[in-house]
Amino acid sequence: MHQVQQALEVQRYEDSLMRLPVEIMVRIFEMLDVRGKLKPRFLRVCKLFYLLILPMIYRCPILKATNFFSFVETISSSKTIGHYIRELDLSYIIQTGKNAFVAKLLKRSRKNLLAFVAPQTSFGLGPLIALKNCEQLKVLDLRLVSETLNLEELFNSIRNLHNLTHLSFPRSSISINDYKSINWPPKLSYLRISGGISDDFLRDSHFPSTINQIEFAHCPAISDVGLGNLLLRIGRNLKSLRIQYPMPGLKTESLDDVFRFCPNLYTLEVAVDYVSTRFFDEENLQYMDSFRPLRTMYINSSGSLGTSTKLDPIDLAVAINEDRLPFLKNLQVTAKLGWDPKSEYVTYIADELDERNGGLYIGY
Amino acid sequence: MSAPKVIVISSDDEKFPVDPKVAEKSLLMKNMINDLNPDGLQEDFEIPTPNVRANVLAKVLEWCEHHKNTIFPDDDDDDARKSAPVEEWDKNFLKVDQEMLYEIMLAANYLNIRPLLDAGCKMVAEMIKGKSPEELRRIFNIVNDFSPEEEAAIRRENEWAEDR
Repeated sequence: MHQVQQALEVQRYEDSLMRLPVEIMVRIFEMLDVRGKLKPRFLRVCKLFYLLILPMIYRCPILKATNFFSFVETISSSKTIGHYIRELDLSYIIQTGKNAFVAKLLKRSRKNLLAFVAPQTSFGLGPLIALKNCEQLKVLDLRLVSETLNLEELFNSIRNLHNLTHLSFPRSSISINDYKSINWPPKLSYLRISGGISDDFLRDSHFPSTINQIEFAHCPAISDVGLGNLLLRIGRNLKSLRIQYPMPGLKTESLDDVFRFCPNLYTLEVAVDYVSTRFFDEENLQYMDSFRPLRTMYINSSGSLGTSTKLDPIDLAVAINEDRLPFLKNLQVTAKLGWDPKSEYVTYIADELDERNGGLYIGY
Repeated sequence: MSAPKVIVISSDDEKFPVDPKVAEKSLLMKNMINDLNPDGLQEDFEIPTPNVRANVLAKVLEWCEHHKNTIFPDDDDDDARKSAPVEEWDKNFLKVDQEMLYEIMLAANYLNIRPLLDAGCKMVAEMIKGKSPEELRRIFNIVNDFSPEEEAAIRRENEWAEDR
């Protein structure tokens, strides 16, 4: 701030921008930043501009295959510039990355890094170890990582990340055997499960009660037994549950229980492949005196044989009519469900949701 | 008897009588009015603004008068405030020379009138947008305190962000 003061004193002209206080100049630059108009060339205007704009340019760097190398070079050549990084999204770095580069970026940005999205390749042991020191990290997204990660190493790395709230597992991972000793981050609220997670893992691990959003994707080893067990234990805590196709271990009625296990959901996503024709029937979707809070529902489909006639809109129409989904506002279903938009019951659902200021969307 | 007024006094002692509703667009004045008149305004109430000259104060109060019934977005939603475009009337109102624009912004900052300050910031942001460093120094009267070597180094170091 001393430098800022000095720079200010040198240039005090009636019609110079420099007479505005620093906080107003920051505000002006933030407005440019919001509009995507804050360019690095502004850094060269004068020292004050440099000091104020530099943190904004590095806060959430936009990295692609074309600028990744020069970014790594800049971060490597300065000990402090990495401290400005808050979010590091390497999802667009595909073949250009190297383990050593990713580890280096994590090391240099560890002081203030809040969110990290790992690249598809080059996320091995080096970066995993570097993660350990990113103590401010809130969001760790490994969903794109295609290399096989050892889950034990992963849990080792995140053991000290006390601020972590969002965790997405990698696509492929070697499972661990000692589930009970897993130390979950204490503030975790969002968990995306994918890869080699097994039924035993879901059954034996002590999931923290802070988790209120769960997503499943690409979990070949999970069957209805493990999923049911997990939902029975923590389903009441959940505000959001998303289960995406393909989950080859699930059966055709595996998700029929979600309404009973998870009465407090605000958002639900299911694939029609894993529910039966009785999904919306009263035995599954019961009336609740306390009013079921579900606001948003997504129903997808693989389009496989039999999925296009499974869910009859009449069942949902009846559920809505009987106040079993009193707050449902937005419903997005795939056209593969075979719902005819002109039919009586689909029209009824659409009108009803429309009246609640939401709507029915049929997409592909 | 007519309703009591708020009399805003400029640094050069000019008096501007306005409706309390107009003065209350300034959070600073609103708090002063409420703190010092807990039972409501019974008589005219003077507020000195020792940092603001009469010609600037007149402009600021003109803005407050125009917006006395405007409901601005919530103060907490900073992102929405930053990204909202400047409304047409404000744009024309702020088409003044640079010195006046800065004076209005400084007054809005001092009097705590966030929507006016935001509009001013957006006008300046609009002036900065798309310009080269040389143009910016010229337009805004800024002295280049970098050596050519330093400038070259900064250019090199931050090249990765050029197409952001």
